[in-house]
Amino acid sequence: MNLDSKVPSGHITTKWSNHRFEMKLVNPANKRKYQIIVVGTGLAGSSAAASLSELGYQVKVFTLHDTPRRAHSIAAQGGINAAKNYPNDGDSIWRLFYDTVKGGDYRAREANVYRLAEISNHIIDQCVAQGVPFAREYGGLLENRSFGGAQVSRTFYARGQTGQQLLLGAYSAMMKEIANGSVSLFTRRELVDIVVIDGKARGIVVRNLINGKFESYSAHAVLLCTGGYGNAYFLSTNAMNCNVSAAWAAYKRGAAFANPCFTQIHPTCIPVHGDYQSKLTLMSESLRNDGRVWVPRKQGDTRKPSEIPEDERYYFLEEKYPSFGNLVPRDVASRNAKEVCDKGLGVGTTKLAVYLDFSDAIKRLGKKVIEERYGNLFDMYEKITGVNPYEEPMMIYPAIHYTMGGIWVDYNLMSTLPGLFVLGEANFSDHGANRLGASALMQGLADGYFIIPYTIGHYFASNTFSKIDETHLAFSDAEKEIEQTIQRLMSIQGNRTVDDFHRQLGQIMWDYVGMSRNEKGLKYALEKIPEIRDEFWKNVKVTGVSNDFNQTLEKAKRVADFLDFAELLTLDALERRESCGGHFREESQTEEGEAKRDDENYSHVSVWEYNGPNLKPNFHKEPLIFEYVKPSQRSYK
Amino acid sequence: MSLLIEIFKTSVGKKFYMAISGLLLLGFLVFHLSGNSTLIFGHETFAAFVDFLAGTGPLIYFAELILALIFLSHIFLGIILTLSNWKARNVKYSVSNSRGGQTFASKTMPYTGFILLLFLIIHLLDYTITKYMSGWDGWQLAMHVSDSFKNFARLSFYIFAVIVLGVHISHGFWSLFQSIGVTHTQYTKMLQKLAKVLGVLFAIGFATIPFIAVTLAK
Amino acid sequence: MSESNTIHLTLRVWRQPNAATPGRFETYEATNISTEMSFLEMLDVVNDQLALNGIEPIAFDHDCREGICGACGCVVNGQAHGHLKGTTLCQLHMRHFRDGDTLVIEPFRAKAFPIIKDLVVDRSAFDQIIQAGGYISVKTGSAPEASSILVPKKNADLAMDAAACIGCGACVAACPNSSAMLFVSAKINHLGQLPQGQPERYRRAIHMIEKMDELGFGNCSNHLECEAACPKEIQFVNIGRMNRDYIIAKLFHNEEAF
Ligand SMILES: Cc1cc2nc3c(=O)[nH]c(=O)nc-3n(C[C@H](O)[C@H](O)[C@H](O)COP(=O)(O)OP(=O)(O)OC[C@H]3O[C@@H](n4cnc5c(N)ncnc54)[C@H](O)[C@@H]3O)c2cc1C
Ligand code: HEM
Ligand code: FES
Repeated sequence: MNLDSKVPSGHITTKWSNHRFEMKLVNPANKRKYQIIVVGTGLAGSSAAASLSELGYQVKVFTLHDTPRRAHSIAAQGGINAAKNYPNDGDSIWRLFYDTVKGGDYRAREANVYRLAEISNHIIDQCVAQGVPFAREYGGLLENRSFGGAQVSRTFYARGQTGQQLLLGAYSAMMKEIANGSVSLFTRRELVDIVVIDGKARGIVVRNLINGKFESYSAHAVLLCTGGYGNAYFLSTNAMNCNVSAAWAAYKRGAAFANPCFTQIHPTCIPVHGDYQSKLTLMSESLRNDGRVWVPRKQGDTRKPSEIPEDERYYFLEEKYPSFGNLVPRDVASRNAKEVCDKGLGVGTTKLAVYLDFSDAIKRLGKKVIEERYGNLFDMYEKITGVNPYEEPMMIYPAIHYTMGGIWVDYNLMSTLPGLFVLGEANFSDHGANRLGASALMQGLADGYFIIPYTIGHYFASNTFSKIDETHLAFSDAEKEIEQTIQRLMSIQGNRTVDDFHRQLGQIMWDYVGMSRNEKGLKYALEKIPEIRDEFWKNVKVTGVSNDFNQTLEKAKRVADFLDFAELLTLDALERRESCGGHFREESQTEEGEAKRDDENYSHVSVWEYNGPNLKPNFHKEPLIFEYVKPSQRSYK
Repeated sequence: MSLLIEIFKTSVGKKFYMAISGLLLLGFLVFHLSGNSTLIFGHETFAAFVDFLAGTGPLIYFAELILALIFLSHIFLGIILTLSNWKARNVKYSVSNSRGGQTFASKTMPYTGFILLLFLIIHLLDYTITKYMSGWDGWQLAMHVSDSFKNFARLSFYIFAVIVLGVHISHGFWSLFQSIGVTHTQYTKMLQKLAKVLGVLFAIGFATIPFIAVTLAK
Repeated sequence: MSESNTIHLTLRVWRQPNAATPGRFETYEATNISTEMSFLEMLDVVNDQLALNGIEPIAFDHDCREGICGACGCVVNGQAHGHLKGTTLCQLHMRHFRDGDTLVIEPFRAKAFPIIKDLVVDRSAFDQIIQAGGYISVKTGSAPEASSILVPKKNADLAMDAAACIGCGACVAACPNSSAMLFVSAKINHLGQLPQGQPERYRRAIHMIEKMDELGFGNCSNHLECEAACPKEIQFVNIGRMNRDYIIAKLFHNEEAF
């Protein structure tokens, strides 16, 4: 497999501008002869569709939602980073680049990350011009805050709804193009296959979710912007419809998958409260600025938190990491919460929770200040749990939140399948093994607004395309194939629900391929997953009929793909015998129990190539070379 | 002119006319009420006022024409709006429960409006038309007014109608400002209260007239 | 977590296979419902039971389950998103119901929101309204430096208040006239509050309002049910401001150029 990253030569600061000059252009009059399919309407998809249409390409956009604005990007709360350095606190493109490479634990491609930092400022310009109502100061200028432990204030935000506002900006830009007639929108369509003709991605097959019919669409290039696969764990902060199916279809058609085991766990989520739980809710990271994390020192202490005296409380983050305290990075905070709960010190009915206590902050700053800072978060917490966090400490527990892994792409965002570009969370992103807060929104928009419009032109201009349309046999073949899968699902009529299987898979993934992983557990998971999958294909119950609006069937198809994919994720986790970022291998830790990277053996992207059903995928490495940022061990002691 | 008709075509435009016509009707009501109040000073004053109006000749015909147009457009648009609102909710909820936005008055605008329309017709027949047909002067009209309210059924219908008017105004008065874009987070709340006060005032104001008329007749 | 309890409910749910086939109410028992569940989780549990009994589960739209995507929503006992103020259905928890309650669950009803199945309705009319002008025309790459546009904090805040709309359609569902004014006015005011939105301000108001009418939404009678039902508590003053923009637009900015 050819894993040419196509990183341009030259100094890192000039790579992107040189590359932009060197790339071929498509004549303006010819642009409308090219058709582009965009799958997904999150930040990545909407921004790409709008920008490409503005250039004159013919764009078809697909989403499984009823409207583009429902994409999961809408849920991002915290903010978006940019190297504007408005606060004059020493930020720069170089620093954002440096922080992102370091934050990613040296598992991302330097050139990509630099480009991301470079573009970050344009994103803010673009969004402001679109009318995104970012927070302002009294002077009318943009306000910034520090986020996710960053040393500088580089995060732009719109209350607690930054993702929503950025998505509405990109969505409205796309809507404008729909009105102009150069974007056609197809909602409630789920991608089920990618059609490859003469070695190039030339179209897709979707299932019309309203009537269950398959529809084929051809194009000159396909953009996959279908988000992350956190729902492989069943419980995550991802929306219910987030899936791996689109990426998985691409993988099966020849697009290699990179670093699937790089998943991010967010420390401050509302804990699980019962078997019926359908998803987890994120509480903003900013809460750790004033909240103190603790558990009782005694196992099985059932007293009310307020009745537990100070010296019987274990402030584990403050004790273990005196200099960062409660503000250690996401992965460290998460792992420690799990550790104390594993020791039996957890609180709440499930014992899988730790306290996040604001009583000291309230004493010190007054209720009013806390209310100003976190009022909406406290309300949200109370709405969900029925507990008033001004009076009782919150309970939190880590949850799957983001997936750094994804379809492998080169510097031009093209996968190993020519003509298939992958943007946003769906690609194996620029975040290495760990994403910094407020960087996913930045990356999705960078890909869509400012990278793909250049690189796709180059692809068109340097390739020739045979004339094909939806009548090509490859489309009907693909439709037949997927029809068979669907019929198989419908015909099982077993006696377990789809969710039941999904939950079972999620439990295995969380227990053995979650926050902390070891060889034994991973191998066990590799045995269990195929067992669950086998039973799924024998005993799942899908009600209704296939040629109808059938949400059970939709779910079943997605869970079927998760069951396949989970194995790849686990395999990747097993293969990477080092700890880095969100991937913690118990075999690879320092004496103090901290993650230990192994740069000698694992400074690479792990890339998996599909080999056929039930066959072990081929493993490839894309070496990572760090010329500008020298790898160092992270320490938060 | 074409511009003014064009506004008519949209929902917001229709409500704009609804509001303006409603406001003008309110203005008319103020005039009407003050005219009627002359009864307080006796039949003579009232008759003098009626004769004065009749004496303005073409002016009063013109004013009545305008008034009729205002009424007609308010009524016409009220019907159009109500029908299109019903059409927009093509299937009714089997259970519907207000969350506290609606008030009795807002909910019943089309119905209070309809009752007012009936009242208007009867009222016109009772006095305006009869006066023209019979060629009465002010004094004869004054006598007729006093006489007519001795009929208990008529008296109750009038009282009922002016209460309905009060209800219509108690929503209409603030609503009209919102419809023409005069809105504010705080001041609109004051308008809402004021509308209720006005509704009561108009109802009481108009309701006293028949009693005065009847008292005078004794 | 607060004290958890289990309750039993009777659900009367609107079932309708598709827009062309008439629907009807079906009665289901929801037993052993933990008060910690969200409303949608309660439906999940009922659906699992239905599925195991070979009955097709109740179709309902949902996605984020944290009150931001705007996908969920139906009418519970006559109120869009249920009875809790400022709360989407997915954030409504069962502790707000009592043991033995009967819940009547219906889809959002409006001519402009045709039913797809059961509780799922087609809200694409909202997208069409946005297409008619709910944007600022700025091409990628042509934006000026962000700090060159000053926005008074007050305007930024008002814009954000309006922009918080999640496009769920509860305003239409709650309005006795099925009017979309709150939705449309939220977008018009979000952009209209900002300097960036000024060049297209009046044109936007005209086009969006005309589109809204064309799609069969009702008129505004100022009942304010929309404001009361809005899970994001968008204020009705937005509607007044929109009316103002429209009238000014029509009377003073009605250039041929439109
Ligand atoms: C709760 C939460 C909070 C977050 N907060 C932040 C934050 O503060 N800052 C930050 O930078 N990042 C944050 N993130 C991460 C960030 O929001 C996401 O990584 C990012 O928005 C992903 O955007 P996207 O465009 O790649 O995908 P998405 O927004 O997930 O969009 C995916 C699109 O693909 C479509 N789709 C998916 N599968 C298919 C299919 N099979 N067929 C057809 N269409 C399909 C969907 O309909 C959707 O339109 C947060 C994430 C979560 C979960
Ligand atoms: C003197 C009598 C009347 C007065 C002072 C009056 C006043 C008003 C006012 C101020 C409004 C509010 C407009 C707005 O919301 O912008 C209104 C609304 C309304 N009026 Fe009248 N009105 C009168 C008579 C009538 C009559 C005779 C009808 C008969 C059809 C009528 C039907 C309506 C209806 C249906 C509305 C509500 C329109 C809507 O909001 O959809 N009114 N009226
Ligand atoms: S499911 Fe997203 S708002 Fe309720």
